[in-house]
Amino acid sequence: MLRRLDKFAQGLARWAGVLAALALMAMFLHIVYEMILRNLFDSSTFILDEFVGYEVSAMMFLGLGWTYLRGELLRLDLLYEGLGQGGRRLLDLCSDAAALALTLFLLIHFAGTIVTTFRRGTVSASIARVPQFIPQTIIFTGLAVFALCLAARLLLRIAGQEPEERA
Amino acid sequence: MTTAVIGPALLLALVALLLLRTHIFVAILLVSIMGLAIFHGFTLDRIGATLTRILFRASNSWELAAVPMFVWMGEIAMRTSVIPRLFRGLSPLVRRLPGGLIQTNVIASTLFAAVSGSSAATTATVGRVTLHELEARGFDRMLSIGSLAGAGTLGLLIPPSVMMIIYGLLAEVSILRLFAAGFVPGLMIAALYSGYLVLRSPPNPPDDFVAGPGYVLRALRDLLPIAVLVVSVIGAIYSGWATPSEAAAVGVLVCFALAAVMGEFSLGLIRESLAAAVPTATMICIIVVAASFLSTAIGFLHLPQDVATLIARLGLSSAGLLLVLALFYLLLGLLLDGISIAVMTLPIVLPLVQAAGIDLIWFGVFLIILVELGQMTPPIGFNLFILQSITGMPMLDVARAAIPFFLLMLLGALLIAVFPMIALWLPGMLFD
Repeated sequence: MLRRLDKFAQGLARWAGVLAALALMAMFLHIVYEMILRNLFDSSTFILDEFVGYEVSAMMFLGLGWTYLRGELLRLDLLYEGLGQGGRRLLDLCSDAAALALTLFLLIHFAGTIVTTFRRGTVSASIARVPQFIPQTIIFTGLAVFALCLAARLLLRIAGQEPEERA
Repeated sequence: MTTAVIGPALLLALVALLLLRTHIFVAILLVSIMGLAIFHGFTLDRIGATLTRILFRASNSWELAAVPMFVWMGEIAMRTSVIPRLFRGLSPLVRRLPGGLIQTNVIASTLFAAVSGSSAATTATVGRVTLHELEARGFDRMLSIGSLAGAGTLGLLIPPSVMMIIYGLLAEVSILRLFAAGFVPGLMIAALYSGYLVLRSPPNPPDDFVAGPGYVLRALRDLLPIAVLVVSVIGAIYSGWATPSEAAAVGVLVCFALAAVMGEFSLGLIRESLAAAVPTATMICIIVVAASFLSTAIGFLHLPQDVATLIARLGLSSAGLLLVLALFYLLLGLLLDGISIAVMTLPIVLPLVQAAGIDLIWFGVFLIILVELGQMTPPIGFNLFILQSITGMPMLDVARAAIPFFLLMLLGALLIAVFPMIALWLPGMLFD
């Protein structure tokens, strides 16, 4: 059951990672398109900074779960390296629990913010007038995937099963 | 509660969380939340509202786009033969020097820094190619890791540099002048590293290289792709074709073009480079975004202002002021990343520096060297983290390997303080 939850979280994280990669690609194409417009056609998209900004945050938050599963979210191994099996498991448990608590805190508050911006119809100040709940929902989605990965790993550890380090 | 209590308390909490192996961005956010809740009396609801607002604003950042772009460029370059060619081209040219191939760390970092805006990308890209190769060929591991920890930070100093763009915006000085000012000091520090390697390296392990006819020409041909990359990224900026931040996208484009010319372009290249770039870029960006909340939190607690006011009260000479500022920044560098340090402190420090008659372009270079030093010091030293993850070596060993190179960079900062023309000569010549 727990293994299945972990596999499900991994699958979701991988899909979110693909979307993160597409966001990075969009960022690149956007900047190149703007440079061509500006230098060859004396024109502009006028919304470059805004959209590239959304793409940066989409990449970062959608990529979070996948980055975590690949073991690439940085942490300090100073104390960890000197510990035995039991100590290491305890530290892993604590660090996943701390990350999960923080992420749940963020999710609760992002949910509140999204509801507020949706109700108020808040849009960006640019000519694109992007409803702000859209980029906020993308961040929320990324954080939710990250939380699910953390929860699955945490439950596995509590049940005494070792998750695979890298996805 | 006074600064004398809050500062050390937060630092201790951060160190404790990091030692417990909490993810770095989690530790930064938790310490900020604790600081606001305990020392500023914020309710959790208010902290949550502030946190979401700041995370949303800081992550929606156009300036931050340079980070994933440069990381992606590095990953593409790594998957093509650009970097192996750089290594292959440099090897026969430096093999006779004492330190031999370890010198390639310094030279390749300097060259790659000239296309990459970030020291993390420089260290990661050069490190992945050179470290295993150097070890396989029997070179001193501590020297090769230490030299990379130091030379990798040159990405901040040698243009284009994300950090300089941010300093230029805050100090309202010309970014192009700043770029020019960083160039000679960057080369000087690279030369100090090279010199140190010459002095300290044990005799080179034997190799089976035979210097046949025309090997220099062949080596230069191998260096051509990196030269094209450097010239197009820097050329795009100086010709006005791209803003310094857009130059990163030019780098990606040129990398793809080079791959196509060398017959190495494929869909697999795009897929694999993206798959490697996203986690690295996410890891860096999330820490920068978390640090921006820490900046806000310690801003609420008036920490930077209190420290800066304290310095202003001392009524120091300009040399004394620089010394105190250097200590202040080195201390902050233990705790924070360079961009956060600059954003948090410059509004207070710049008027002090200006009043003391110190040139703001020169100060930008000086500040960036101090920030580079911070990248080599635990507990938060980005370059150390990156080297730790590449080599799988314990953090303390990586930090120990970096010590001589830390001291050499400190010497570089001192030389620039004593002889300001090292930084100011090139911009003066180009623009006056």
